Amino acid sequence: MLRRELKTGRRAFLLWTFGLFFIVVAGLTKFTGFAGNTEVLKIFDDFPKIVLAVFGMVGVDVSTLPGFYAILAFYSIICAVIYGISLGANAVNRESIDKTYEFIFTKPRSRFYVINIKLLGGIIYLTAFCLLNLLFSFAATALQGIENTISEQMVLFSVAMWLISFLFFMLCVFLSALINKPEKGAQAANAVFLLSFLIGMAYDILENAAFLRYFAPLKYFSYGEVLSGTLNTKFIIICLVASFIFYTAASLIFSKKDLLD
Amino acid sequence: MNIFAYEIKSSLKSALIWAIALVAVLAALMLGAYPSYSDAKDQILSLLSNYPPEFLAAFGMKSNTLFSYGGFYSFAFAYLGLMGAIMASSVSISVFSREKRFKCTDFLLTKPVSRPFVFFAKFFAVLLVILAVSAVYIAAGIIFYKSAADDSVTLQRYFIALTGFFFNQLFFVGLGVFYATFAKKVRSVSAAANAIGFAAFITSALAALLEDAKLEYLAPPKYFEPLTVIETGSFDTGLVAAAALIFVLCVGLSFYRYCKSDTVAV
Amino acid sequence: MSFVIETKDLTKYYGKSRGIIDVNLEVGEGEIFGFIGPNGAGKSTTIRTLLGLIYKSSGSAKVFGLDCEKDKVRILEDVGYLPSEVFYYEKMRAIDLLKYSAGFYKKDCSAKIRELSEALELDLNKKIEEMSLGNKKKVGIVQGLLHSPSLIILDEPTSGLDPLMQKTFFSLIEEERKRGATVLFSSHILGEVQRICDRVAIIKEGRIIKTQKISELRENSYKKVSVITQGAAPAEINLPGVSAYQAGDNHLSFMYKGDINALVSAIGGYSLSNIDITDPSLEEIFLHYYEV
Repeated sequence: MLRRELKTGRRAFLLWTFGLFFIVVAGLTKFTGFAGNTEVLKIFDDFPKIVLAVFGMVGVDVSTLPGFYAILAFYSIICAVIYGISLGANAVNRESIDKTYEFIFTKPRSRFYVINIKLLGGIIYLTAFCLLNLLFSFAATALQGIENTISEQMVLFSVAMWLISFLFFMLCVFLSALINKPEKGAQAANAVFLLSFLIGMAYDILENAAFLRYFAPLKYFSYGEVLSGTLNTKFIIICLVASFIFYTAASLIFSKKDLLD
Repeated sequence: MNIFAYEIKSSLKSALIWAIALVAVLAALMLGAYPSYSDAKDQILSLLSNYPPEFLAAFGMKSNTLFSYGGFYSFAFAYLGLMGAIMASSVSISVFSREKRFKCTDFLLTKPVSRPFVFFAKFFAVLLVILAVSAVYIAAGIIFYKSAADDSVTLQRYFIALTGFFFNQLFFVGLGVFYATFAKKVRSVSAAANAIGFAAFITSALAALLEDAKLEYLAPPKYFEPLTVIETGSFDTGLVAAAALIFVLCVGLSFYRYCKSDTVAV
Repeated sequence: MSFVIETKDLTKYYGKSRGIIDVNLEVGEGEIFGFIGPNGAGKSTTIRTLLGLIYKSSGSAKVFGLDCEKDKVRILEDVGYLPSEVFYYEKMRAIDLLKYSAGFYKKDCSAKIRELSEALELDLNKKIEEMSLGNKKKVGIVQGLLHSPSLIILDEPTSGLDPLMQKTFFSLIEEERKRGATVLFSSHILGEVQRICDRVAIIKEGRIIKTQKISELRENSYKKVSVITQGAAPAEINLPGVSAYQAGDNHLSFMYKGDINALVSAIGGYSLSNIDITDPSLEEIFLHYYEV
């Protein structure tokens, strides 16, 4: 059954991987064109956040490999989150939308079992996606002959990617289970993501808005923190705990709800 | 008229929500955030005046325009354009995949209307929806301009820059129609619309990051970049031509397919 | 004589796979014309070509003397269609869907909608997504008939309707015919075609193998007889018109064509515990009637 799940998701996975490949490899290939000038960066420390945001420099210097990579990683993470949401929606709703749910849910397995297999399929793809991100990053730097001084940070970015996209994956699973109309769950999850993306932007431009960070998972692991070699522990815990709560709630709801067309 | 009215009615609620969200974000940025950005200007300009202009160029700060009202709008457009793109994709995908999603293509196409008629009824319904939302957006943009702008950009240029929002949406209508017509199955409108919108956002951010002019041709939000209008008075001809070409191609191919293909029995 | 439906060597291939080959149909005005064949024989392909949903590969198809592709819109003005599986925009209420549907025709259909839904006992205020299969089917029937079309095309219409509703449905179709409508009725159930149709075409593997009046079919019609005997079954029955005779320990079965009275008196000679005399299934018809 797990194998069937993986088979249905194969084409979408390849498509998303292609997008990721485009960002990471095409991005890193271009990097050699930059001339680094790190010393002058210090003056930006005095700039208000909003100015840096408009200039596209949120705590990193894009003329260096770490700073440049951090920006690429941000886009890869967006990619992973959207992919995660669609995996979550598919896990819960695909059979309802395709009207095959009667087939699968009348097999002699508990619903809990069926849904867990489906979630496992999604998690495998999501994890593979994050591992590929890491692989592409290493491969692209090696191919370019850039001295890879940030392999440790690359690993951290991939872990951050996994944590954030996993959170949205579970959020979408939860919303899809909660809302009884198949398309509405995915719609809600996508809306939440767009909103959190905009909140992230607001967090970037406002001076005293630390509280906004809780509502913007994309900002949980800031460039600066990751580049200095750490992931913010508080937000790791938030990600994992929230994911677990979403999962538990979704399982409870899903086991009890009426399955409708 | 029947199909047209039906599609308008079906899109009305979401269009309303989008219009409110767009105006809210536009207000938050151009009314709320801009003044503090503007306040920082003098301080930063004096800081930067100690450095040679080549230094600024290295950081992609071409001129003072970036510090102006128009320059700030260009920053805001990265987000507003993204929202517009997602909205336009979602409306067009929703309208053009409606029969596919509900498996009732037979219902519509056994009515005494030709397929070209159905296609255009749907197309004009989508057009009217995004035209209305864009009009609200542009009107709000002008009102905010009057209350907060400096004199660095004329109303005329700013207005042209604002119309870019509509053309950007129109372009994504093309992509949405294409996707809805050619996809075998449309499971989730919102997922497809989000993916299209963010893919375009990321490509255009990459184009900016990599300073790659060729990549801009693959980055839809760059086609109607406000900064270009604010600096030169009009959009980049080459990019607009590319947008028009892709749009016509998408809609043309979709039209052909919609009219000529065998409908699939359920 | 002009025909309501007229196809000449109509052929449709889906890529390389067969749809229909050289289908020739002539359906006269006011007829109820049956169209039977097993699943996958090409019934729906023929119907969908007539409706302009799919495009023929070669041959010609005309409805009301108009070309099915060029004059599709004019044809559809006066055609009602009920698909075998009904799907509609789920968020709508039945009445909204029917009004939307009626809006495509240049006449006032509200009286007819009321009349039909009353006959079918259909609750118009219910949302379509909340309806059972049978009720969706009823919406489909109303939807297909609401503009009083002069040609009604039914693709396996009775699936999902309970026997009582089937009866109501057939009487609705009869009424439409009295009004002057022509009906093309596709089915894989011989019994219901015999019940209502004037003529019937039989399609098999994409080709029409026979077109015949129902009255002729009935004269020639085979019965399938299965008998359980008390004691051993006879090895053969001496009766003209028996074919495909099979006998086991205490049961026997055969196909019979001929005088029913002769059959009854022949079987009456045995002591029986059960007897079934049924219409043969289509497959059996194909096997025993149209073979060679």
